Amino acid sequence: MKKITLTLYRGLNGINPGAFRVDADGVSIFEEPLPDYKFNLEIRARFAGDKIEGTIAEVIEPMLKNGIAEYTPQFGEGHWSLRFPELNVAETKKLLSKYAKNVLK
Amino acid sequence: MSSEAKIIEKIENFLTADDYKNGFEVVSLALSIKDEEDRDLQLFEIIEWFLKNDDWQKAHGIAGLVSDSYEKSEALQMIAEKMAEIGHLERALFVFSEAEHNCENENLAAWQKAELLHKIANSLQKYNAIFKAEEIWKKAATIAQRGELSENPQDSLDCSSILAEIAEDFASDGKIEKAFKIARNIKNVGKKEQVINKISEHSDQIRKVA
Repeated sequence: MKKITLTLYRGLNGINPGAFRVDADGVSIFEEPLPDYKFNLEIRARFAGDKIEGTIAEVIEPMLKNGIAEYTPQFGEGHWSLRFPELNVAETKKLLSKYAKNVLK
Repeated sequence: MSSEAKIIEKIENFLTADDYKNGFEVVSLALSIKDEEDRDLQLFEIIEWFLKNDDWQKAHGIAGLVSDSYEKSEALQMIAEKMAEIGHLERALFVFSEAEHNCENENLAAWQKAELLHKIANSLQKYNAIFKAEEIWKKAATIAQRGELSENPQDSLDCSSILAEIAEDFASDGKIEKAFKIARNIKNVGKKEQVINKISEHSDQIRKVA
């Protein structure tokens, strides 16, 4: 089955852990860059098959291993929910902040 | 490795080694970081470390060195919670109030303000400051509802997400009507449907127990 790689975006005005909203579904990321932010953090993910609600993509950024993104268009156009199943909320925020610092600074 | 990265590494080593007697040296190192965000984050981690060592006085003193940011409000909320935990409830209320005022910072996104206020309200409720908690939840909901109107899809959704969290917390606390009232007005249809289902589950459980 053909694998598709896509780049997903999280808009950020800062890069400390507090800049990431994590809820029970994960962190909201989008297929298109978001306007009006200082940064658009890019996160690449790969999936196989058709893109339908619930499709799971594997995050392929080396710093974000074990991350998954679920296609959740019910929350908005081009919306994916980014999750790290082994991490709690605080750990997820810290990891994403570390990644953002590495990529954006 | 840049000189700032070396300083951060040194701070992390101090904290990992639990080198409590060098507490002030570590603060001085953090203050030498020029990047404001990095400096705030290191000070925040030092505050967490002092709290872990039950020294809320030093933690509170260091919070005054953090710029007005998400980290500052979160740190003040954690300090206040520690104070309440060890019985200094009146002084804790003063620090909760500091945390609340810090949320008014214009640099914070609406969802960040609402998220911080929701955390403060949860802490206040835990220590039976119910009236104040209700007042802060009301403020958090108003800010998030205004934020939902943003044309930016991420900001709007994050605000809906906070409202859903507040509603679900109300439901798990048995405040079903209040939970539905917030949930029914959530702008994002996906978040609204999801949280209404969760509130209904809580409501069913309460009915079964009754």
